[in-house]
Amino acid sequence: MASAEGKTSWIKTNQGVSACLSAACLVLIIYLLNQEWVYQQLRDGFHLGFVPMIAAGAMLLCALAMLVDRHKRDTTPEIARLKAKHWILGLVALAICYAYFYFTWNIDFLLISPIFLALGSYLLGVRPLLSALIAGVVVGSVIFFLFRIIGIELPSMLF
Amino acid sequence: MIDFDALNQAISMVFTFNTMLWLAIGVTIGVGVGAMPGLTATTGIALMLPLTFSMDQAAALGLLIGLYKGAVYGGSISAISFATPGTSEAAATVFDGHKLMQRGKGKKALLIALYASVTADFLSDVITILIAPMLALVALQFGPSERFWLMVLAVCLLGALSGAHFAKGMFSAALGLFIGTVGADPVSSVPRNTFDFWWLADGIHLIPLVVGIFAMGAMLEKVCELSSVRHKVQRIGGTFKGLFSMSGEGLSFREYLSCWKEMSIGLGVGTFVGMLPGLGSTVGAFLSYGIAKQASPHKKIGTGRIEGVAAAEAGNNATVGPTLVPLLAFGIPGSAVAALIGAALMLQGATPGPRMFELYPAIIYSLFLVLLLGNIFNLGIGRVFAFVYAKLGELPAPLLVPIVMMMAVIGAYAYENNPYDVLIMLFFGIVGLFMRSFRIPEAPLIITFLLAPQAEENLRRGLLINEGDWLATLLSSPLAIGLAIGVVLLTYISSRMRISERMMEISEEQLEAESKASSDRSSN
Repeated sequence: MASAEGKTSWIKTNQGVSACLSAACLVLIIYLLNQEWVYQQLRDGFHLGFVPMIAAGAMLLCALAMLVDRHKRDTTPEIARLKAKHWILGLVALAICYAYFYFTWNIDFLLISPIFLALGSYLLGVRPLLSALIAGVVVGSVIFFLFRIIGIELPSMLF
Repeated sequence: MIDFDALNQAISMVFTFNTMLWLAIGVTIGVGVGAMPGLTATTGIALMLPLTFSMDQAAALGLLIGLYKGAVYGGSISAISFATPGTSEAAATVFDGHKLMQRGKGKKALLIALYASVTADFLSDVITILIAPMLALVALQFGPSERFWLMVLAVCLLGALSGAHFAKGMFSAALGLFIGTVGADPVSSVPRNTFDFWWLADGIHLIPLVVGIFAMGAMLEKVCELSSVRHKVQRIGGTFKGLFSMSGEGLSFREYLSCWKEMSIGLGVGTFVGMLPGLGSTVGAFLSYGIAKQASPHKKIGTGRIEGVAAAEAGNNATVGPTLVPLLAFGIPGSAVAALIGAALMLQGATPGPRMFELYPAIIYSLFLVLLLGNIFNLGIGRVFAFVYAKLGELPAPLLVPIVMMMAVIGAYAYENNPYDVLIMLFFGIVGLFMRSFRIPEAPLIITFLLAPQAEENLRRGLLINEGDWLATLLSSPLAIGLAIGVVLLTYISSRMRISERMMEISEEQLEAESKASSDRSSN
């Protein structure tokens, strides 16, 4: 286990993260305990909530173990590097991916994909923009025709 | 006992233009995926899994197994060319491989990496073909309680051996179990754990889950990395001279044979490690390299020797076939890749496990044939195009990230044309980012997710047989008692002895020692 010495805040240590995980697991268990289906008995006498409760309990137990075990003060270098802006960036990237999906299946794969690829690679650092655009058009077209060969139809008005 | 009818059927399924084409495509993509730093065999297979849905069984196996074999070998190309292993299992190849490259013997290093990989891979496949049916015969004798305990034992092994932190491995397994309970229960099909979302009534599908965790999670991590540091592509074209020119120093047959000892060590270690759930090819490579170094100190492995490359590459490629043994014999995948191959079989309507040898012998024989043939394709494609793949290491990550993200979106949707699958994939993308950042291993999650319904089914079947008596169900035979004791012992030993952590420490010590030795040499 790699550890980043000293300077990182407590919340980024294994103990800090596992405290958050423990809290989340506890909320999950409370939520489950308030669900009617958890207590529903099936024809074979088995309770419907037995396995989900065992799983949630095991998650809580492991998170609690991380709170107190010998790695509790360690911080993974990746967590140490991550800031709030990275999580926001991740969520923005996911939103862009969903927008890509929405527009592709409502407009045209061959039109939207090159824009998505060019914009994505440009925002991440590919220069000049023309290279990003050419790469987007080439890759988008290759993927479109490869999928067509396999038998997966991607939406397009042209083909 | 060989079922010749099934073997004939398998031959007619495998030796078709379609299967051969997909096997070649699989190896071609795989070597490329392995050669590109940032992409792994698991990411590649996760992205290709949705495509197999529309293929026939042999072609699907050809694509995925070819990709896996290619990726494990492909990692060595960028390890030798740039000292940047394309995959973690190729890290041990850097020690000797890159030193050979610096001395203008890159072609020799690439060739011994290829030949050692293919030799060990082929022989370990033969061992797999011999061992898996025998173990399956044993597994067929198991009742519901033995099968239940075997699954629990496998999950504990995975938790103990995946990653350096036991609690994180077990957390991942518990999370997989929880996700596996979303949707209808496996016996009565009564909906549960749907968080009041109607579209979760059918459960979480495997494809959006694996694509999200492995592909989208990895790409989100790359996005975070790229936003923090501006990467500059370094042009080191001069170092490729020896690689591209046909007149560069090649590898003689005598030199290949001189590495027999290291390849044998790699074969033995890799085969054993591959069969154990949780360890994987990285451990195989480092263990094999370490043992070879100890066994032949006079060869000075670590100073740029082909024997070092052979040991590391034989060690990682020898895990490829044996990692399927627990899947085929017991229905329990021993690694994330085995879980994905198992998932592909399930998509094709064949549940992996000991009964597969009785119910679908033609698919089993097809798999064995594909395993063996994959090596020939790996040899041919690797031999001819290694220098082209070396270029892939220069492909800028900013270009790669949107392509993989696009493939992830298409793959998640194309599986069932369900927009909610895209949402689920994106959700698990952020979960994957968290798991990577907090170093929670992903393999136990996927494997427990796959095993959860089977384990519950076996437990409930056992309870029905024993009229609700839990003690009689769980401890119905001496074998079940033995397995239960094994679970308790394993959990205790792995939490006390920190087996996986020590293995990681050995690998890190080797890396540090090698980098220290090379910096000492360069300063002298």
